[in-house]
Amino acid sequence: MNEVEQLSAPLAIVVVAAVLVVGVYVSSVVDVVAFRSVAGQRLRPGSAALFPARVAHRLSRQQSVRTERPDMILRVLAPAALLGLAAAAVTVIPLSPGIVVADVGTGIVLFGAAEALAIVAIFFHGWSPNSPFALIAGYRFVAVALSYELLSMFVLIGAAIPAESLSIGAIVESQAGLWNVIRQPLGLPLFLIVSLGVTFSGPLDLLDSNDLAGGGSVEDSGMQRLAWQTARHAMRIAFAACAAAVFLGGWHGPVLPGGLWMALKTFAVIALLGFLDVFVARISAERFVRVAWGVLLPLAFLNLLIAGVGAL
Amino acid sequence: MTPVEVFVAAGADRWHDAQALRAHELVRLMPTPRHATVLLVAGTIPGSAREAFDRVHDQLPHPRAVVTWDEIVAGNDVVDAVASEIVGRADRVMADPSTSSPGRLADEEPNDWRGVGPFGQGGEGMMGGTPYGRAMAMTADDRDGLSLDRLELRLGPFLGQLPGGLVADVALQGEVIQSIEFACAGSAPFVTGDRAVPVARRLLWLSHALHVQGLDAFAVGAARLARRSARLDDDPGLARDFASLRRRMRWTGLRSALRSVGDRDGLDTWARWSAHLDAIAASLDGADSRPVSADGSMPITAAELAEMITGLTLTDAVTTIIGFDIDVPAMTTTAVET
Repeated sequence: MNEVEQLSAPLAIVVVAAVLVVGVYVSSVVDVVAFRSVAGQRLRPGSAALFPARVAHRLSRQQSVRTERPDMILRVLAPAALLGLAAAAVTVIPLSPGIVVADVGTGIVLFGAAEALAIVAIFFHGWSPNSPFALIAGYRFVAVALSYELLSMFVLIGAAIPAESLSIGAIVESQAGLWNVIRQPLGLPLFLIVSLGVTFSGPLDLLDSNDLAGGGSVEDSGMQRLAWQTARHAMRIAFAACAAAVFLGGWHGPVLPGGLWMALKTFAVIALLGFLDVFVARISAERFVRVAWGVLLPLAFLNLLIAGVGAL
Repeated sequence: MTPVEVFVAAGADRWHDAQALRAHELVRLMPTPRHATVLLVAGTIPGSAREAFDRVHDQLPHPRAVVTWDEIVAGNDVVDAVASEIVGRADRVMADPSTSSPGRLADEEPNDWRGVGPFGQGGEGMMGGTPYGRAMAMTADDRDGLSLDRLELRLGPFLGQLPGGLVADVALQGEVIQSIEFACAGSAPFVTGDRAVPVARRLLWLSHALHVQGLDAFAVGAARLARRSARLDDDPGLARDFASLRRRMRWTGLRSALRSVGDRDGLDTWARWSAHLDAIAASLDGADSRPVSADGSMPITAAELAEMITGLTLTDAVTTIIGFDIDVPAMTTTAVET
């Protein structure tokens, strides 16, 4: 077992900020690459790499329109809360052998709590502008959220069983011989569905979707839009890092340093989520709920059974 | 360079044409005016839609610019000319925000406070009514015997997810449509069964429909094919490239997303999409452009469509409406006349 190095508070803040800034930028570049490659548009590496910076610059110069009688506190709080929850989730994920911002023994519980509270922040985003489509999108998002929240809890608990611990560091350690993606093959696909839900992407783009004229973001402009997109990407980073640690063996891998393996695996999940966002059509909320309770939840139970039998 | 974000306020006569801009790398059509830098005015805006147009215009954040499609003198390729004008205007207004298009409406409440009811908004208690002209939800019995908030809205005529010019008054409880009425004479056809539709127009329909389903990258591909088919009568690679697009679409989950949505006469939205796609493929293979009725979409009136989508969620209703390639000019002409 590696000795865990607890970072000092100032260093922890710097590390979390660096992970999120770099991660959000990389995730944004992945979106551009995914979109352009699927659309068959020219893909110039330099242009794609600078794309997020240019968009941020343009949005920073654009007016943030105030809607009629918004709930201003929640309007400001929503992106801040989503970003803060993503940061909180990142703190419990080990970045390399023995390095974790907050080495808590109940890491997956804290991660799950951040994930659950994200639903509240996302609903605030729909509620606060005082706009019909945003409100409908917010309600719709909440209506499906419970369905995948349950999946998340079961697959994370399944991953904790072989580790005999709720610490994400211990879960990574338990994969030294065999990664959970092999040991519990249903876990990662189910967790990716949860990731798509919380980041409202691809088939579960039920918040900021085109069928509601932009849904929860229908009234966003300028810095408000930039802040919300940043928070969404930050949540994608948190889920990608968690998937890398819990299912893909975290820092385990040959030759390369453990931290680099963790970064590569996280990037791979970000890329997969980015391409699924572009490549998969949105499914209706009603249909997803039916699939989630009728198919996905039983699969999560089966995954839990596999984990339990494996631990005997 | 990042694409210029554009919102299209299109009259019925130019709505399909405007969808071709999705093919252009320097332009991105946005679902809401709040995301746009440029407002593209395309086609004829009827007098009845003038106020709605002014509201859309004022929703664009500053700095903003307006480009009018019909004022652009184009050479061979009008879409390229419009895109160039959009990029140029966006560059100028970003460089000099003082040239941003001023508001068209006064910065005041659209309607007076009515002063009716205990809280003045015109409803009952703290609910209902139209305070300052904005409808507030009021509880009412729903179709399942529950008492839920009922919100009445007008959709259109410039709503990004619906064809330009389409106007509908809708009452929602949650996301479920309790009633809907289209601004169209009861017997006016939304979809006529005897139209021969050019393949470019069908591809532009496909582009918009893919956008609404969240497949924007595929929408770009469909718009590019539409532009190619409009440029050249005989493009030997077009049929092959459309087949390739259609093959990739199979992996997107569209089939399961559209199946059992908007059932009518045994046909659902996926069946209607398939019929459109078959018709495009047939046209590209050299067959005549087949009438819509021959490939699965039967003639349907506004009243029939309203009946069909009442009780659906707003999402499924939009998906159902888009599944028909609505004859927008015919419908809106009728609506204006009435």
